[in-house]
Amino acid sequence: MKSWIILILAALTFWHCSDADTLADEPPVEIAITGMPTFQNGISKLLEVKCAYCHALPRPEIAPDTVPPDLDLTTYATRVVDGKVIRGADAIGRYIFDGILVGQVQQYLDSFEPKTTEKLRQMPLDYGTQLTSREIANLELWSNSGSPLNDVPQPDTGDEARGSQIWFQEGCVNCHDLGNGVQFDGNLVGPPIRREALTIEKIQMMYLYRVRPEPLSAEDAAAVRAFLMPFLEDN
Amino acid sequence: MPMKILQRIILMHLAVGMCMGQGTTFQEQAERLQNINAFLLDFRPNAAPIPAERSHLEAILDINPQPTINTRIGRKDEPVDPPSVVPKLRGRYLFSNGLFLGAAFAPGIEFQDYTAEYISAELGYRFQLNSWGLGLRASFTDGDLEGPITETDVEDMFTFTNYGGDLSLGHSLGPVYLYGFGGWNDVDTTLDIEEDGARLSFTDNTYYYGGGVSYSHGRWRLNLEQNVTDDYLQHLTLSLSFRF
Repeated sequence: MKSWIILILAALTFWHCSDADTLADEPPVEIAITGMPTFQNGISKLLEVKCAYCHALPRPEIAPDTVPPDLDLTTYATRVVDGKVIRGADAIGRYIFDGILVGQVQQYLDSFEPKTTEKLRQMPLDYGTQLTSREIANLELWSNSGSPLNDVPQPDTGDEARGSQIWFQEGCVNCHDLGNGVQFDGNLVGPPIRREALTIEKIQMMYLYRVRPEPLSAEDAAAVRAFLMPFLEDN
Repeated sequence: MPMKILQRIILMHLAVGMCMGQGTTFQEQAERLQNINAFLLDFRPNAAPIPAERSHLEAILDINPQPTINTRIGRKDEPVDPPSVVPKLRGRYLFSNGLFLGAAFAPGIEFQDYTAEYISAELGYRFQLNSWGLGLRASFTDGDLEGPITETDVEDMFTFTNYGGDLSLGHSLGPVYLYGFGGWNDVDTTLDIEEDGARLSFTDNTYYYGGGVSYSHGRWRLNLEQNVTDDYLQHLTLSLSFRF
């Protein structure tokens, strides 16, 4: 009888102790940024935690097959690796501006060839670590200021004649006109250029990505910026 | 230019810094869920450290009531819906000198839309001093589960390997035996997602402990054991064993 009492007491003690904590009720971790967001001030860490576990080179195991093969958010600058242009964090400001953090966005044609009209999916994917509203606000603020590397001011001067020469000879005008963007068959080939987002780094990135896989010097990029600025409206 | 001026004013007056707040990442959620599934699919409850008076074979049927599991990861709920009770069959050979060798093998259990395979082994030693028993054990489990883990109508593959060691201490009160145990475990898990080719691989080192009560009646033994893994999993194992 005594044995049964011990057995039953032990069973009752244990019986309700069944639980699994999967962290499913935890909110996503938040990367807080104090001051203006730049890549070096917070955005790098934010991208590392929320984006770069998939968007890195070589493609991480954890990334889906559909991850773009030319996007590496572990670094800032777009660069050439083994003859291929690999976009860095300096290339994502436009997608943020277009709303990829809150919904699907349309792809740009990038050329006059017919292309897919498939939209880019909202980021992060459902399976990923979600962004908080403050993180989205910081990324949008970063995008609106040209997704800068740091807080070093952009140069206000440049050789406008040289900038004009690059703009027309290298074909920038074909997609962007004089900053107003170009539409073809109802779709945007190149988007209008935002005045506040026109940085030296962005011009260098677009040159590598869309013109030719050779670096554009900071001096030439400043020339392009100086040439284009008078055409852009304040925003 | 007003935006630029505003930015500079903000930069001049605000401290520059950042920090990571409380919360979790989807990797932590995925690792936790995979660890929990690996431990629940493990074939190695401890059992009371009762040595054998003579060499014999012991057959054991384990029944595991499964805890409720919240499968949300990020913004997505995995549709995995395991059965509420999982039965497992295993064998253990106890030598009269205190050594014991156990194994479990499941060549392909099919339940719902899943197929699971397991192999498990344990090697240990038990000895008794008066009414006290002490047990040492090393164990290994390797298994996989194939089925619609992340989406319906897909064939995802979940694999896991657990290995570790533990120490148990028990006290006999007539036919009732009370015992406790604690150990250390390494668990490697991988989830291959068919739909998009993603692979989630994790390695974790963790502790586990628990206690149990065993009741003997002739060659039969009824065992109820509480298992605790780190701070994230508590589950029960009810075992019925027969010594041949």
